[in-house]
Amino acid sequence: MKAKNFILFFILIAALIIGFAFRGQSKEKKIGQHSPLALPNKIIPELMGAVKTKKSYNTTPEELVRTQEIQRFRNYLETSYVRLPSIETVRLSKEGDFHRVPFEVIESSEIFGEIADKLKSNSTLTKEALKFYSACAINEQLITSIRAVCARNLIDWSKKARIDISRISIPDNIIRIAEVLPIKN
Amino acid sequence: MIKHWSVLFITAVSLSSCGLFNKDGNYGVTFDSTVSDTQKELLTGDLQLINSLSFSGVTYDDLDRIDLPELSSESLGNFLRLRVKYIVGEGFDASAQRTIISSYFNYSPSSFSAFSSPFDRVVTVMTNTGSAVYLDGKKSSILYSLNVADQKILVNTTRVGVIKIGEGLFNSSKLSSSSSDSIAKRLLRLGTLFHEARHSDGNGSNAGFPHTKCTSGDFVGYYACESNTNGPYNLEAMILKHFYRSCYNCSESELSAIQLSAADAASRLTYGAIKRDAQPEVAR
Repeated sequence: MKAKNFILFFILIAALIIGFAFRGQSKEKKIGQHSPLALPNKIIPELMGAVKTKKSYNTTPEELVRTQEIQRFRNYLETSYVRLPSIETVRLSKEGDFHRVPFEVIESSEIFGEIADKLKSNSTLTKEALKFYSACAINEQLITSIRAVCARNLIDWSKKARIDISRISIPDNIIRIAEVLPIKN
Repeated sequence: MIKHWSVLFITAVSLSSCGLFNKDGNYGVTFDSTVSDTQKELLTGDLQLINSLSFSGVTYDDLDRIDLPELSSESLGNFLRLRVKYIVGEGFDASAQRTIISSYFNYSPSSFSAFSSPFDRVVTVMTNTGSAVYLDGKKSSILYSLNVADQKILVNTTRVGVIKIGEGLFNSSKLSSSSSDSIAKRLLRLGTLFHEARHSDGNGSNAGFPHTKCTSGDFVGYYACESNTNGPYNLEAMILKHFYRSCYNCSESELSAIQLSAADAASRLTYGAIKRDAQPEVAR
């Protein structure tokens, strides 16, 4: 009888352990499903809640348009972010000829140009763009030149928006390159 | 009589200002028959663009990278004139166009370093063929001559100035929103030309300012880095920084393309890079 109870107790404990393990896995999956631009929210609290939709019934049509515009911009940034070339992508596509600027790097100029155009016409989008630039500047999988341009943009646009970005720890090698790049007017 | 002379003088001045007497319209560059008319036209326009560039905010570091006392359209023009003399097309086969002048040539100084051969590239953007042939000859103690643009030139220096261009240089899909003759694309091509021009410099183990093997970073293991602060990549990064400022009516995408190219060039500099003597090597 005692042995039977012990086995039952053991099975119960094992079930609990397995249950917790699976719960952990599903949590990890959920984190992975987050926006690739979510990380900077934690580093720069000022950027949090930039697109929180007001549930209030007092929302004006102008506010609604603004919110929708920010949401569209955020979607654009999220889809663009995953298109930025990684070191792996460039290594695979260039077949060992790295003498010149990789094609994928130049191609990204369309993304950076589009973001800059949108920011110039609507300053309320700056916080969203800063998330993009900071996530990109600290992403070790992305190619160095892309990260450096992100860092340059992050520095320039945060200055304009007067947002402190000192808590974002961008590696020295990225900053070194960003510092020698031309500054946006 | 005086009247006639005056008219002649005014005409000469007018023609000169129009560029008809200006031999330096394309900075004295001779195009080989392997360069297509379209490419020739575009490159001539690129070179002429230098005349209209103005430079501000030039730092001591900028000048140090290019070894010039000042940065101006004139000084940059002279820089190119000394280093880019012939432009050949993708169809130019350097190994077929070279002739052995001396098989046991005593190069002095004889030291050389690793140099990635331009003959095995997949897509040609631009290569300094003259410098590569010189280094190839030096490696095998052979003195070559090259048949370029119906001329036989002695390849006894890194400054022979034969630059090979390819379709990659004019690849419009790289920056799809602008045409090949847009200012941004012209400036990007000029950036590449200045990069290749620097390969015409250097001596001893640094003859031709060869690229070094990357010991870290994105291109680790490949000859795509630079250990000289005044080498081709770092010079290109500096020149593109100034070109960005000169790109007045350029779109944000075009400006970003210049910025990305500058970032790529700057990212090739290795830690502990030093300035090296840019004096070109001449074998006697």
